[in-house]
Amino acid sequence: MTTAQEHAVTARPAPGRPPVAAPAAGYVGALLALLILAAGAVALRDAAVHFGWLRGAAWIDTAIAGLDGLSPQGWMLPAGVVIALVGLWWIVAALRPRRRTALEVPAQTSVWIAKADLARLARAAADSVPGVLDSRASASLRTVKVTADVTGDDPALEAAISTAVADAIGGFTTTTPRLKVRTRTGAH
Amino acid sequence: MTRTAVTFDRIAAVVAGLALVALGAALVVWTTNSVPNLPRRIAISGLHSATGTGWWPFALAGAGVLLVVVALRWLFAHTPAAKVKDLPLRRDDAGSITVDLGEVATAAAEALKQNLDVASASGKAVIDRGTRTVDLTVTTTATPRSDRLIPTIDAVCAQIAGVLSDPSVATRTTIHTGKRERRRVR
Repeated sequence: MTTAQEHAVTARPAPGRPPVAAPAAGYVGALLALLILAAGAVALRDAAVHFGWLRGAAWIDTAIAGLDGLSPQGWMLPAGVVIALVGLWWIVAALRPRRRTALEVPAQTSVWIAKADLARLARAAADSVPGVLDSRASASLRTVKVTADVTGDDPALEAAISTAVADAIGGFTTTTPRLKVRTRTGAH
Repeated sequence: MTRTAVTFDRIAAVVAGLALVALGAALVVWTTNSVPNLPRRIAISGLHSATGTGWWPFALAGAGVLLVVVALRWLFAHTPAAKVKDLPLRRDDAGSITVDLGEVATAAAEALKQNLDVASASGKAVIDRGTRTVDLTVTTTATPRSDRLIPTIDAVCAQIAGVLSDPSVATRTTIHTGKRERRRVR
């Protein structure tokens, strides 16, 4: 494969799927699998106890004996509420779509940039503005926030940072994120 | 994770969630006595007496093995996306020609590394939500120029499409911003 731009773009590949986070239901599924694994291990241990291969009491038999004849207890009310809330949380996790983690880049093919990387671009752009000592940036799918420590209380500096950041990230997003720039002096 | 695994997780989470909601609601209703004529004691004497029978240890052992096997299979379904290996290009009586998609991805990454704005690049071929995808990752310099970088990515992806001639294979490039300001001299 040879380099790049000397080749005219003749064929266009199918677009890849947008990058998304792992589904929340995946964590619930993994937890359920671990719980089932633990239950299986306990069942095998209790079987070994019954066969005389291990010493001690069978835990499942003890639990069944404890449950048989159980009457309502004070702790069951808060426990019931907590259990129902966990159940609701799992249902929401199962139905929630996978969260998008990156913004689409204006390109002819499927190109994406992660939110953290867009923030890093914004920070590098802010740092390049004369008068900026240091900066921090964060980005969501809709907003880029930049906080810059500056040398003086110059209102033009905020505009200069905004312009630099907008120029830097403009070529990397199809949708223009809302830009919030804050400057502060006396940080150093 | 495959789409099947994700679907299975979603169904399992709904079923388990509904079971927990039902159990929690039952505990609240039982404790507050808000529904009349509910039994005031749990009666599982049949199950209790079963623990003393001769078949109980065998039932425990069988259930234990089954649960461990199911759980391990389910856990292993939570592995990263499956990698694609060979893509058949042509097949006839004389034989078949296949292309290793992983090698195509690696070659594409090497081509991307030639760009001035690219500090490093890597590529792999995966099945992403049912689509065979050449997945490229580009780490740029600290201040990349989009007008230089993006046409290069487009050109490399177009080359991949040209090489494979299979419209079902997708490409996806993810840009990461690096920290290095200048490209090192090679």
